[in-house]
Amino acid sequence: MIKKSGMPLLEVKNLKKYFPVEKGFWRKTVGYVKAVDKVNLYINEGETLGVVGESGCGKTTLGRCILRAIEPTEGSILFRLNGDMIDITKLDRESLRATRRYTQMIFQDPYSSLDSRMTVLDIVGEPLLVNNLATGRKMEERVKDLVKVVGLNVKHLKRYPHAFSGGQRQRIGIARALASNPKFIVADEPVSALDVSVQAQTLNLLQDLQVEFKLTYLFISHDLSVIEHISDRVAIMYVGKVVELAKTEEFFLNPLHPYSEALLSALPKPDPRLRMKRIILSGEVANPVNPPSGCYFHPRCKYAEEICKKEEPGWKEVNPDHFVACHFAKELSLKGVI
Amino acid sequence: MDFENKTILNNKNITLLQVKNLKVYFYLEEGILKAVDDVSFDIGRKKVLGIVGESGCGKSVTAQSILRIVPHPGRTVEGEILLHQNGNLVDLARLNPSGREIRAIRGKEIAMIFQEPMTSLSPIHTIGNQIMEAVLLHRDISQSEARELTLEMLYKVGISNPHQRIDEYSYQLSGGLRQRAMIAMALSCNPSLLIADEPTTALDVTVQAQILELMKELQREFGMSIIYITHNLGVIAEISDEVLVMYLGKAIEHANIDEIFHNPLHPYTIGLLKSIPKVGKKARTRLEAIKGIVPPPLDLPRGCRFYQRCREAKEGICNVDNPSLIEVTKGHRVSCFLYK
Amino acid sequence: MRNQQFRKVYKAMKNNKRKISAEEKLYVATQWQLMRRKFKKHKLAILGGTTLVIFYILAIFCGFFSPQGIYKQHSGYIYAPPQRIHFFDEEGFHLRPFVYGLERKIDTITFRKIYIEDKTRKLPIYFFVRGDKYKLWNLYSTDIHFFGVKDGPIFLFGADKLGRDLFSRNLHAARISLSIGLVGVAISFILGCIIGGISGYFGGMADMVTQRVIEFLICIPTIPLWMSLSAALPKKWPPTKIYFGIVIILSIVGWCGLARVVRGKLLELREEDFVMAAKICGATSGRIITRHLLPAFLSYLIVNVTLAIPNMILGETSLSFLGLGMRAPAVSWGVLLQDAQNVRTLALHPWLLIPGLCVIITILAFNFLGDGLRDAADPYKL
Repeated sequence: MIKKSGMPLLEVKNLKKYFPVEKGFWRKTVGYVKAVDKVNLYINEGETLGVVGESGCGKTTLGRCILRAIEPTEGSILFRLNGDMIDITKLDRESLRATRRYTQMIFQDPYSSLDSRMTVLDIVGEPLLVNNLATGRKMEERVKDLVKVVGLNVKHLKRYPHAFSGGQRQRIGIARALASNPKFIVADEPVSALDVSVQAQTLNLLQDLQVEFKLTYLFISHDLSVIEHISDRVAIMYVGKVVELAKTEEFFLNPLHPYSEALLSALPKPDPRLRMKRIILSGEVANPVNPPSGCYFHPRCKYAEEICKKEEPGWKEVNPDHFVACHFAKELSLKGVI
Repeated sequence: MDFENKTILNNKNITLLQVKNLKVYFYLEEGILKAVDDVSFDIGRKKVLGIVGESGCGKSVTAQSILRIVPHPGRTVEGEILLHQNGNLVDLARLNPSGREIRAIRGKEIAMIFQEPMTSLSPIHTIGNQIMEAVLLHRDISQSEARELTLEMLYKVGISNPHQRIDEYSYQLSGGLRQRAMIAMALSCNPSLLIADEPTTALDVTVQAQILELMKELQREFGMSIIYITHNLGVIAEISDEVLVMYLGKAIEHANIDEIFHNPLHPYTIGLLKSIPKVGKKARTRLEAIKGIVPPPLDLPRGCRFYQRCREAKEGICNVDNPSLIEVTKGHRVSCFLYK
Repeated sequence: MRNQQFRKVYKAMKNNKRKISAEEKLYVATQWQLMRRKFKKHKLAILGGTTLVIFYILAIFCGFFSPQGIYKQHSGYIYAPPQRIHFFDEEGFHLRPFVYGLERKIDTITFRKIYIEDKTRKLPIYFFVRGDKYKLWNLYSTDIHFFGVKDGPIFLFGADKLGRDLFSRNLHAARISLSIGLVGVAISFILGCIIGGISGYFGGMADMVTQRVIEFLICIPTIPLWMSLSAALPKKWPPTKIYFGIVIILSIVGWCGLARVVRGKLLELREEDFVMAAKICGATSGRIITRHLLPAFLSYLIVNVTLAIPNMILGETSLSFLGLGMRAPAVSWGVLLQDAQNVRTLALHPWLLIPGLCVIITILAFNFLGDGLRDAADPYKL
């Protein structure tokens, strides 16, 4: 598959989302959960950026902040619309609503993401209706096309979601995301709730749609093998921060952050002949309410030194298009996947 | 009959558990759900058997039926579950599910760990108390000895400061530590069989790697057999010696680990292996997906249950008869009409 | 001939269609259709629902169904016991049921009035008979009653200390007692929806204030609060004004529970992915509330409303029983029960407790119905 990496469609600069931690009768703010902390990213037109991380690393919050489904605390999100870069964080309510049709989302849970009280026609047609793109007959025609595109039976438009299996429901969700002809889609773990055999169908569908409709994806997942399969570039998150950002092949061959190395090593490979000694990280993911000093990863890092406990590493471009936040990125030689 | 029993007893050093023609049905209002339909397999001592399958294939129910904890309205309709216990044979399928014999076996001979340790550990008792209770139930030792043993177990499962953790409650522990505590509890009576039902599915990748490593280590140390249930082929490849692949209540393929991954025979196994993305392979190729969806398990069509989704399906054969599990090469059993 | 053939084909087609549609029907069934399916499986709820329908019909047409006027005193029948309806006499079975006339005697030992059935006086029961004049819903003047006997009164539930028919009085009491629950809940419902909605949807300070107010109101013991409030109602007010006064008093506490339900459900639904999806599509808050949130929790509201009605009925009954609610000459179950306040009455005239039995049946019926509705409220959960 040929992909040209064009100009950035989306640029995220210094994005932060802090959730206040409230305590006591007066709900005094006693601290913050830094769910997304100083994140810098860019996504080129037509490519897929995979975001990987363990639970609670803020990858879902990042995806929702970029769509402004939740309000980011700080930072800017630049989105290319008709040739201009507009800052999504600065839009007022009406203009935000007007840009919503260009950015869409696919959810993890195929059950709670569809309103069980609406028919397929109403669910898929909703983006058309609220954005005044089509109504009545025209809407039905368009919904029929969409339903065909995602591989569902056109006769089932009047059915309710409870008539469908998890994989089929996910297809309905995808059809809804496509309805308003978006340019950019955040796919938040779209296959992790699905069975193995259905996962592959859904991943293939997402790839086909990307080519057909020239879509740009932000693909969030905890599964590195899925990410490798679908992404052009990869961003690794750890406790609210992006610690590494690189082209997929480069990342898998030559990771620069010790956490990335450990993640790659921990991934169970579906081949018993590849059983090997892995790097086992001690401990678990740091608590985002009370993260460790310096580099958040230092308590689990086997390469950590004094400086890692004191200073937070900066965001550096070590190789072209390969960013990493580690004090020793240049010195360490880490192992990727063969 | 006598002869058969003799051969089984002679094999006592090799075989630990034999499941023969197990059928577990759920009697629902809408019909009979055949959760496990005519499944047979053996587990050798000190072996790890992986059971793989998608949701609804009956892998968990198989495990539950071994411990006789199939939830209502499920019933073990037919079959034998033979446990080799110091030269004796016990048919677990014939025991009263709430009787004394099975309770003596649960926890002592066969232990189980679950996907979500939070729900299987009591929130109102300390970790230590729960493990001690399990120990005292099956072993004739004093309170203080039990505590000593518990501390030792917690240490063995890699909990760093057992003296502090023993008096903590399950909600104070992280997911990984909870699963370690569960394992400590399961192994505290030195069972000969450990059933692990998706024990790492709810955990992060790095923690999953820790737990898998731990289970391998403990298996070497305690020498128990493990039935490891999961849908994740990567995890199966990592831990099992043998694999049983299940689809809609049927065992469709059973072979050693290398055979399953490098010489799979059943079209479903082949399809499953092809459909998962593999790290290190050239990225962004198309996956070969299995077409269609798992049909609803109530009122299944005649013939092979994989018929509608199978690439090799032959009309007139596959949709008429049900293939039985036959041995194709030594130790490799498959249920498919391609291999007759 | 051709016609017959056509009919055959048509019939086959129709059968085929029906076979497909059984499954398809379930797939295209709306929330309410699914709920109805599930509700029908709940036998007790059906029983409760049917009981309530009968009660409410009797209450709505209470003038028509009661055989006597409720204020008419039959001086010869003071504390008359309930009369039994007979189908058999010495001659055998009669299709038309009848009662025996009552004869008053004085017990020679206790000197108490006792009533015995006078087997010689057979009073057949007729339907649609003319009797006391009454006004149906205060509009149509008529004297047709659903049933009655041609000469003399009939006391199915006995008579009270003034010789008034308790059956008729119970029916009229049901009108007030049953309707007070509905009206009270309607007011609570409106208050609860508005306040709970504001609290749940906007959150923050508004939420905090309403929650504290609700907590405060719930802390006050209800009976003393109701008592003090109803004691403040002027004695001179006519029954209709008192009626509305009581309703408002009952609703003052009633809305709290509903507001909490609304708020809780809203907070839960706000986090659902499908609401997020609608927001990302660009739907306005108004559309999200009316298209997604309201339909989702309407069923829960109905359940909670059903379960709130018994409280209102009990509230009115206890207030009236204590003499603080409705007062004679108005009749409600609580007012009727005032006559059963001492042990002597209970021992000698246990039929005065029948209004209490009515209250119990009503409350149970509402609870059964609510139970069934609660099970049916989320038809998507398995």
